Amino acid sequence: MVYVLIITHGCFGKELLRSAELIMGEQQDAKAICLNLGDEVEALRNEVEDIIIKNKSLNKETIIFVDVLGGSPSNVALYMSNKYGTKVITGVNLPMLLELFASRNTDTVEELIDKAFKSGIGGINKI
Amino acid sequence: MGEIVLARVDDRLIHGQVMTKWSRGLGCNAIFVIDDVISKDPLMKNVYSMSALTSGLTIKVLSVDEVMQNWKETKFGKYKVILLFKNIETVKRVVSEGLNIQKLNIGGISKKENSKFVIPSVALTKSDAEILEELNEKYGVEVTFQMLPDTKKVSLADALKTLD
Repeated sequence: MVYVLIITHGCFGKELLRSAELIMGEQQDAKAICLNLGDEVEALRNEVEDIIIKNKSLNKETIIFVDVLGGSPSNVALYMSNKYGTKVITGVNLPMLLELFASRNTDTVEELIDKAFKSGIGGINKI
Repeated sequence: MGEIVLARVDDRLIHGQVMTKWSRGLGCNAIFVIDDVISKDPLMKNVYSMSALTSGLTIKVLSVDEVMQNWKETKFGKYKVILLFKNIETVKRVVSEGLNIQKLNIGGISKKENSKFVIPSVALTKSDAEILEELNEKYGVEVTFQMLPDTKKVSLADALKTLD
């Protein structure tokens, strides 16, 4: 199963994961990390790198979700993308997480990325 | 001839605060990261280039030599640029080599063992403070401490008092 890692400014990601679990039930292999004011980006990078390496050793793929492109969480994610080929999605929202959790037992990483991306955008409506 | 719209020391370099707050309103079209170490690190160069992919800004990661060459040859050409430095020493090097920085914003320096906070996002060591004083007295650079355009701005004189 694909490992889901969410990294955000503040604890938005942690709450987002809780919201997703409220709907989809408790999730294995899903983690959210908060980056708060005063936290070291270097420490965040090490924490994330440890997760990626551990997942690799278990033959588990990781998808990293971050809030905004250009922020420190996304810089850490892009670092992993460049170094380990880890897949990254920016602009994390609830629709994409729900899609991902619904499909990750059956789909490949590429399919999941595609579905999450489409659901993330499709979940935004102007009414 | 280009224009330096902001020169900032921030050890996170390009990140949320810079991309969402500083880069807007200043009318900039480019960000130059100036750092000898990162300019030789293809992976990190790529990370910073990708981080501004959808912003429409031109991103360059340059060594001190490269930025000075760019300045001497083109005065930064068509760019209205934000210069980002990881540390104060690099600012001193480019200023002493003739880069025309009149105002310097110190926005983010994380805490080290022997440093003290002057604003919540900036912790200075004595040697940092000495370099800033030199930049101010010898080269006339106006140094201020401020995390975001709308947070409290502290002058060099007031920051130095905090360190005493």
